Amino acid sequence: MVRAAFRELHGARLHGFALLVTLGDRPLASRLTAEALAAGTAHASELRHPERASAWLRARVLRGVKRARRSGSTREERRAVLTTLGVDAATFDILAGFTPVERAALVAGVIERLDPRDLELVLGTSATAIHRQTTAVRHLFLERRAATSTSEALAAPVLANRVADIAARALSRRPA
Amino acid sequence: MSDDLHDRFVSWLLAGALGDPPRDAAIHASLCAECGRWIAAYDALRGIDPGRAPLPRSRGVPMPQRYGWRTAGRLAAATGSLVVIGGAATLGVTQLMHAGEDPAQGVLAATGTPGATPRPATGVGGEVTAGDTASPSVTATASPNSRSPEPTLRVTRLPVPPSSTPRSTPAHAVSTPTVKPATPTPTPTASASPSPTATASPTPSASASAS
Repeated sequence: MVRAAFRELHGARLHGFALLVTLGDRPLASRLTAEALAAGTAHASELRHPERASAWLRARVLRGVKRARRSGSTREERRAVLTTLGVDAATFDILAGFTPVERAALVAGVIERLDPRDLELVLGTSATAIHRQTTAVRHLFLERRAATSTSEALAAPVLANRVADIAARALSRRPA
Repeated sequence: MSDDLHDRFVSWLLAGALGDPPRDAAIHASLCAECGRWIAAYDALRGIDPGRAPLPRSRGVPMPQRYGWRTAGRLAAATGSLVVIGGAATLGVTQLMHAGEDPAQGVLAATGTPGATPRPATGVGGEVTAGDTASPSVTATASPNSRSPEPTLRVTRLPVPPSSTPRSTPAHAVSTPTVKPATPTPTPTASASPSPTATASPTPSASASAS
């Protein structure tokens, strides 16, 4: 019962986190996710708060990634796996240049926007180091990604549309 | 001026793109190709959604695959202790089985047969009791003429075991007081039984033959 609830609540996103940190290594990510969920079920009484539980589970997955070996999946297979999560080819290449800890900082800190307290637990560092680490990895990703001339069309150009809308309103002097 | 707007927009972007950018920086970014790439990079990052991943396969709790030296040591210790315990148990059972082959312990355990003990003891015991307590004439006449042979039977058969094994003697000596006839003192039982018969039968026959 508790295990099913844990799996329903955290399973998919935790699996996505594991896939990104392992760079699309599906067998390894599935195994680490299952292990973390099983361990989380055993500690369910301590993980009542969903956000604390998310951080705890991600920390466990990250520890597993550091210890585990990669499976035999090829780069193309891993790229295809991450495409389902919205990772294009250029982004995949940039993520491949990061360490698992840097990928975890990018996913948990920039994409999922976890609370700094939770990031401390995930990455196992202090609050000041967390801020510095997430800022640095975001800067590094954007810089590398902006330097890449890609012709791929973004699936959801959210920021581009927002900036265009702000500029259009400013030029037409419409009230905000 | 455009460099300043460019830096302001990138700084806002690198800070996390919280809230709206300044209007002039947004107007600049909508027209700047380089800012467009920064915006695309940010959108590429924000387009990643871990929640799109499927649920992991619902398997049983996987075993942590860490079979290191510690596990091997535990296994060896458990196996060794089992071997030692099993060996000790086997040795104990073997010794018990060998000990059960001793006839004296078989008798003590009420599993042996008393008939296995040598019979000559009966004769020896009977002769000893008769020779020590009564005269030869008395024994010869007592057995056929006696009306009560039961006391004499008891006296002669009971001391059988003591002569065969030294271990069995204490047990029988305790159970039957007739073992004592080996010593000259316990005469009361032996002398009591033959005396009535001996005195009763010879006297009339002697007087009759004389008459």
